[in-house]
Amino acid sequence: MPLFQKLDVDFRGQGASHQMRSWVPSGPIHHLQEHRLYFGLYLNELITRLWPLQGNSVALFGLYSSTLTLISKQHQERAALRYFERTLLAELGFALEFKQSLDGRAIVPEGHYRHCVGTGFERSPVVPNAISGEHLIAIDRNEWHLAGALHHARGIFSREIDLHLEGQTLHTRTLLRQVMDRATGDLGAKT
Amino acid sequence: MSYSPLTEQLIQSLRGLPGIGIRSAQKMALHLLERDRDVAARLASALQAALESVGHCEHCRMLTEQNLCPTCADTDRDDHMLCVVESPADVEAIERAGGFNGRYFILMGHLSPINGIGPEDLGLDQLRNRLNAGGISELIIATNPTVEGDATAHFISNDVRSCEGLTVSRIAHGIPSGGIIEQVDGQTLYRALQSRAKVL
Ligand SMILES: [Zn+2]
Repeated sequence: MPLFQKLDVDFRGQGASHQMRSWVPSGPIHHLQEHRLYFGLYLNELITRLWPLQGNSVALFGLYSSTLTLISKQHQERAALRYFERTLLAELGFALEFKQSLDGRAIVPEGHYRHCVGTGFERSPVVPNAISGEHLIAIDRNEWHLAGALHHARGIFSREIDLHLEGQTLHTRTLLRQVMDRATGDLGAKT
Repeated sequence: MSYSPLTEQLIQSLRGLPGIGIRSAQKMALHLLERDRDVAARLASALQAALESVGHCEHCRMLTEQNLCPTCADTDRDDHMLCVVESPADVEAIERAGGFNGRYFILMGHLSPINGIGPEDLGLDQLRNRLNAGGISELIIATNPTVEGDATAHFISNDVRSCEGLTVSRIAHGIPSGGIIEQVDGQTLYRALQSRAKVL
């Protein structure tokens, strides 16, 4: 069964005991090459580990497909991965609040915040791990030109994902780390 | 319906096999216990014997009862070429096709993060040691043309990048001999165009 291609799948039976009867390709293939393959596998693994087996979401499927397109075209791949993670968490009911800190006050560009995993952001003094309000606002608006926004988004969403994995291992993350460790440096596109 | 504890244990053991669901496992267990106890006994003793005696070839990871499998023990083969494949069946296929007289390395699978299969499960440390030992000048990656096969090929080529003087190639993929272009699936056609060969 091909990966990264839209399929029309025919199932037999219902509920947990349903079985796949047949499938036919019904859309173009997303051709992912080199390190982009791992990004595609990462999306698949995220969905497999976090999304309920019988769950469906037209919005998430659309985003999955458009994220694969961005990855295959090498167009803002890292931003696309972060946006996918954020939307997947939101679709699962674990949306993060980027507009207000935990005390109910608006997040402001000049403020500094601490990421409280699973709950949101709380105001913080300027300490090494604090995230600036400017960065949080950029992540919220999906504006990635601000230096450090992708880095912070990666940290925030991976901590959130870890929480919801409930101890499951995300193997593609390890794989990507190994690939980057062993590559001689042309893999600038970290997840 | 509930089965006896040992029957249930057999069913659950059979379920551990790839592609075997609960119904198939029940069917197989009942067949072995009800209809064909001779087959069941032969299966049990073959399994026992194989588990006790079959290991992996020290060079290529092929299943064998010896330290080296027959292919690795064959002194007439070219030691400079090493072909990486996913399974012993791939070795058989390449041997049947002819045209390759080098050595093999069998991954016994491919990278599959969803199934928890990573580089360490494919013996890639062993492959690197073999390349570092010297003598091999060409590495041919013959993983399957699937997403996982591609990821595995990419991982290996990245991994062996530091081996000096090593040529690394991947077998070409494309339209089968005698095939008709209009009947070939999109993925294969795409690959055929990507790996086109110059004729002039
Ligand atoms: Zn061998």
